[in-house]
Amino acid sequence: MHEIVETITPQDALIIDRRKSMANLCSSFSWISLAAVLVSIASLLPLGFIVWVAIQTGWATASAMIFRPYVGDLLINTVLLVVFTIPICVALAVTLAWLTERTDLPGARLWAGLAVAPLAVPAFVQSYAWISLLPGLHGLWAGVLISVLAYFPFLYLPVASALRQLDPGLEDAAASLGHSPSRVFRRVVLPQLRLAILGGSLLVGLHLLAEYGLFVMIRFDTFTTAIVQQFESTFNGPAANMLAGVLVACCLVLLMLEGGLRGRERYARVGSGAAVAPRPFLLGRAAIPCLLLPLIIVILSLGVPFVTLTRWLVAGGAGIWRLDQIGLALGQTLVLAIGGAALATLIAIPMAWISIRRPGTLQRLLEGCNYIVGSLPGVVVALALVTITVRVALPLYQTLFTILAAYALMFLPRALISLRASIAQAPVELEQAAGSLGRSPVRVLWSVTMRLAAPGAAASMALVSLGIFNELTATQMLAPNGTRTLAMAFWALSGEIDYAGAAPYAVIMVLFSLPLTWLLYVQSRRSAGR
Amino acid sequence: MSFLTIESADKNYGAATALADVSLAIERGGRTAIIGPSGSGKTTLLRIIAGSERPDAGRLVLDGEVLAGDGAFVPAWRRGIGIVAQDGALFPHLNIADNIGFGLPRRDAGRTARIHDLMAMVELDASLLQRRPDQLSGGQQQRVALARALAPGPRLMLLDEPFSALDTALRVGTRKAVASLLGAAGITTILVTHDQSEALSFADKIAVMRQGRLLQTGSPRDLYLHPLNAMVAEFLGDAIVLPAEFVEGWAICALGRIAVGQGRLRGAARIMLRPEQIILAPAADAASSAFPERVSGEIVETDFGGGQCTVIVQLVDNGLASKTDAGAPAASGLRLALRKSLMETPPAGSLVDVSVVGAAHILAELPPPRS
Repeated sequence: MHEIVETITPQDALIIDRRKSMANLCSSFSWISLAAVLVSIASLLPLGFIVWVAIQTGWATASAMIFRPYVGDLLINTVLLVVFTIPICVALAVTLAWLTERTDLPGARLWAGLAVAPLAVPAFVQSYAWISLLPGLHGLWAGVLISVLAYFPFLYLPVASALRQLDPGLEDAAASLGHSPSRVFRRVVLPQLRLAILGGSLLVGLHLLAEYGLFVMIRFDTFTTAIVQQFESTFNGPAANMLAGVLVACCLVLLMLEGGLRGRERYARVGSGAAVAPRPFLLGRAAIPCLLLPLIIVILSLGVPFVTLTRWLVAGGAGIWRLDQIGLALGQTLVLAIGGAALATLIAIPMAWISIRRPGTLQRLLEGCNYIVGSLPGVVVALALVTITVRVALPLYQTLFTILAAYALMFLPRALISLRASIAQAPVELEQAAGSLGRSPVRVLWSVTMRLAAPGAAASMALVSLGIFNELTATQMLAPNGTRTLAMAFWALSGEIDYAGAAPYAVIMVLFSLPLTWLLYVQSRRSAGR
Repeated sequence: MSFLTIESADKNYGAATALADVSLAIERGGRTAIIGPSGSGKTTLLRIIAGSERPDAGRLVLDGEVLAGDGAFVPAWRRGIGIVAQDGALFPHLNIADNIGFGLPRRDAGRTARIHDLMAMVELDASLLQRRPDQLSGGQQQRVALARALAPGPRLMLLDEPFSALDTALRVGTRKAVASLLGAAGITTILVTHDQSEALSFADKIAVMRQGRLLQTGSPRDLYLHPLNAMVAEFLGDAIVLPAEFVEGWAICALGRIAVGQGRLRGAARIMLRPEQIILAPAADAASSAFPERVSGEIVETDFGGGQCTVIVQLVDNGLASKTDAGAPAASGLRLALRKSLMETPPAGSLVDVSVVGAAHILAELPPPRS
């Protein structure tokens, strides 16, 4: 008897132990969900405060502030900007993508790289290049021109990628049914680029709504420039908040428009497709005129900034390289960029984790919030945080914490993308194995999941920090007194028409943006399997 | 005059030769299978016929019209040649009705009726017309692809391994349905495949390709029984290739004295037998045998496979080789793998008499490998 009891006891203990650790596992997994929910609620704060301020202001005041000719003018400006820029970007991106991906255009790979390169030039540097070349440039058409040059790569990337992934067998089938190449393009190729075009257009549209520096330089008023002006003159008046409300409404309209046009269809690809590489369209004698398009675009989008920056660097000579100031600005920028990136990545972990491991209603809800918050302009997030800190937590106003929090909220979606992909790389079986070996769930997350997801975390840090590197609007509104990042210094100097003095800052920003641009280009190639 | 003529077509991709001097003539209404291992150039040949690819040299004539060669090139969309691709290549953004109607004029009054006719022709229910391609099974997708290719009334139909993506049970049924449908419509058809049983049962003419060259063309039966060389022989089914010596109109080989169908009857050459020509019988008593030249073997292994079993027979030296002064190779040690029905499978370890029915086929020597 005694012996039997002895042999049973350890097993019992083991079972109890295991139960305990299972319970532990479950409870701490809901801790992760709770963390994700908290992050989502925090990220909804800006939106919530706009609603709260609107309610506080009262309908009479609010409607008087919103329904006035000034807001109407801003709305017309913004709508016209979006309505002209996006179709031009679509036409340009589709044509360039077709030329570089599907024809025998000489130097197609080079042109493909150059079509992505404008992403390395921050939009306000692009604007600075143009305004210092043509000082008279202003108004809607100047805005459309510079916006197209600065943002068309956001459409070129997905469209070129979609074109590469298209099954050439479909085009062969359409041709065998008696359709000419132009009809095949219209009826088979274009419909399948629809999702890429819609997604890219949404991205361009959101950038147009959020951009500040580009439009101030050419004296074109949009909601974002008006909010910043309002903020600078009346600080935290309800007027700025009401404008922000209209801007948020514009963003939501864009999101819904895209969602509606996208529809529920996903165009699941049928079968694996032929292994045949698409046969390039032979341009023949048309190659020379066709080369003109990428050439002109490269001259306008890269040549102009290059020539202008070179001109100012030469004109400024050694005197503009105030290394002490530049060094200080670079140092401050790096601290903000790395700090913001670390915070954004950290708070993205719970959401990335549940979106891979616990997909379901909660995860879809959180992702929906995230999607909306991610599309809010920086100026809205900044204004909300100013309001919150001033009214509720004044000691936090203009502190490092607030600016980092703003960055984390603004760039959370960027951090999520790479993190999610890499957590998907760490199989759940490994976590279970580590758990069964007696590690607590939190330690499992740290020592197994995060260790495996580290490359993705690094990529997410890089993506976020480069976004912060060129951020201007929120930084201006939230950074502690005395902060002077590269973008702020550039902005101040170019605002004083010291174009030569601003040039070194622009060069540094471009140089730091190049690796990210290269990464995006390589990723889009890799996702298409080439 | 043939309906489709390909005259010495060449195609190179850089340094790689895809087609070398391929000539083929196809009769009107015929069903031709082009068969070969992957990379043999069969798909390139199909793409040249379809007009998706331009031959470097050679001529392509369809029904008297030069499609390629002589400086002419008719683009794919003006050829009136239908294609059914391996995965169907249905347009994912269109529903089934629009997929089938893609090659029909949009304002044609009879368009809807024609689409319904075609659905009935490929034995699909009209309720599927509003579905998307990804909501259909693989077999249904292939039928839709066929209906879509049939819709404009093509002069020629090209099938590019259309059954290979289907599972085995579905494959045979779909193949039979397609064959009878195309036969009833009287459409000249070319099938590209790497599956020999598919080619043998589908086509009335087979062309075997390898390394960009056409090795042999002929009727399925002719190619199976009289392949030009060992390569063709092995491609169309299991083959037993043996060296033999010809004496007085007989082939003397490890399996004894075998009748020869045709060809030269002197000297040495290699012969081919199909495994089903080999008959195994329980070993008779040596003394009572009236046939001293019989070949015996031992069953060394049987592999149970349900109705069909694989039997490995090792031949036992019977001194036959020493009896003929021709120096035919010794029988001892030669192993034959034969597929036998369960009832005909002797137990392992038993001794059997091995005999051959029908005639042996003499193979041509293989051409030296291309450098």
